[in-house]
Amino acid sequence: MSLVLGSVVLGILSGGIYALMAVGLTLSFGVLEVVNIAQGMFVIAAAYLSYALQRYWHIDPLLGLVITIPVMFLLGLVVEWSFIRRLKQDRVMLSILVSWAVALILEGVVGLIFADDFRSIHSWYVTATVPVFGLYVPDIYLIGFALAVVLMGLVYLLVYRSRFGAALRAMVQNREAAALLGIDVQRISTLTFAIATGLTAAGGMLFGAIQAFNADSNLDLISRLLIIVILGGMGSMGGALVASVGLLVAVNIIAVTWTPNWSTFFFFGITILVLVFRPQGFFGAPAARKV
Amino acid sequence: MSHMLEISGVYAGYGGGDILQGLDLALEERTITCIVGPNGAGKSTVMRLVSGVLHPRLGEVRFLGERIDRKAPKQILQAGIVQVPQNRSLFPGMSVAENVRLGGYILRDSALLERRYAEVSELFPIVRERAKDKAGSLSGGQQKLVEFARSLMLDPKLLLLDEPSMGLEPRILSQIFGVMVEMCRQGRTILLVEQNARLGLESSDRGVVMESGRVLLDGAARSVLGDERIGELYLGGRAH
Repeated sequence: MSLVLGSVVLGILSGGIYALMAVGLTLSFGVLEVVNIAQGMFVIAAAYLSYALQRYWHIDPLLGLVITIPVMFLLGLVVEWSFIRRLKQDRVMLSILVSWAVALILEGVVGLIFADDFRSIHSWYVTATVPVFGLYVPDIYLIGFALAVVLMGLVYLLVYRSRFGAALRAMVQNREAAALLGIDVQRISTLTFAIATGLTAAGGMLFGAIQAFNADSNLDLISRLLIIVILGGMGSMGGALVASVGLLVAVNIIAVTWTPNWSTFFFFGITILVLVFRPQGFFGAPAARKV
Repeated sequence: MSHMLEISGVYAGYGGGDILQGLDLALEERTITCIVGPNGAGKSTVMRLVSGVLHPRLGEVRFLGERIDRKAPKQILQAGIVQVPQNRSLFPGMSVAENVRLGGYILRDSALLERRYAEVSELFPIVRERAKDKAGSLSGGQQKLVEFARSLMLDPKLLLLDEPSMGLEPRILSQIFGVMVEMCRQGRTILLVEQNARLGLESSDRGVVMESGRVLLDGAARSVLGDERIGELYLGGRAH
């Protein structure tokens, strides 16, 4: 019984971390109508960045965020400028192909530099643990959850409490009317994509600390992130958080009470059921976008 | 006589040929000018031209003596021209207060923004009464009033009203047009495009009839209303 409670706690903590990785995906879709398949690869690239900073310059992964967040933000600016803004029509469909290409390019570059050995990010807080209901939960989960809450809170404030956010929400609801008020729609789109990419710096550092990764890991990761975002109702931030926590709690319970082998199957099985019976997810109205 | 807005010899379109074909039009300060004409005459294109969304291929547009035809929409807002687009242009999921404040989006001075907001909600009680409600929950006529309120946040000299009667119930139209006349009395110049020609002309000082991207007739609104040729063409029966 306590094992189940422990796995619930672990599920909540890792759910928060996954939500942080997925929040950029939701933002890009809600604001730019872009399904960013490269999101998973951005997370992996950020994980490599944290890994390299620590391995070669001895910079603590958490402290390294001061460097990795701006670097990923810049990468977002470059990708938006060179690929995303060229998509003038049918963005949803075309963005899937284009961002997939971006993911392949990045995967190739990362593979060239690091080969395909599995790496992982080490630090004292990755190995130290706290006992929770009979499970030993690594400190990194607690730190990661706290970081996720803080960063998502900042995104929430940015979207709902700032001038930038008001312009962003206006643009999502009526692009042309927003432009007539002097809102620079292109600039808002670019910044949103860059912020979404910048957030993967934190997601990547955490991902690399909780599991070993190589460039290939982005495929499995993007599938999970897409599932979270679809379940949450594409474009809904709160929905993504609930979906993420719910899924990971379920997966963890299955792993503990039954077998870890079936937990991945469960993850994708649930997705198929949802896509068949409730394709709009649980928090989005059909064909509606919410930010 | 100096003109507030002067459009001269403008040819403009969207790539598939010119919609405006040598348009000449001048607005006098503190008047309401109503453009009427059949569909495809280029009425809405005039609005896009003046608000900077569309640049002319030939000809020029001057506002208070200064050329504005190469300026970006934001610079045109700063110069003092605000457009209220046709159809519903409020952001339905945002509150009335948020919608109105966004009218002053380009203002960097937040004290000025709040002062304007106070003035506008004084002028439009609906803004005060429904401030926290979602804009989408208002009736069509109420939304149009909030759109007017929002357009005043920049204290514009020239207002472009594109088909304000569109989609509204007939019984509230006189209120909407009454508010427009009031905004003009307070010193604003108004350029109105109206499908409902009779209604538009009755509230205006000047009437301009457009056809095929050119001005066909230009005169006092009353005389345009009374012109037999026009009456037959555009005002007969239900013009809406």
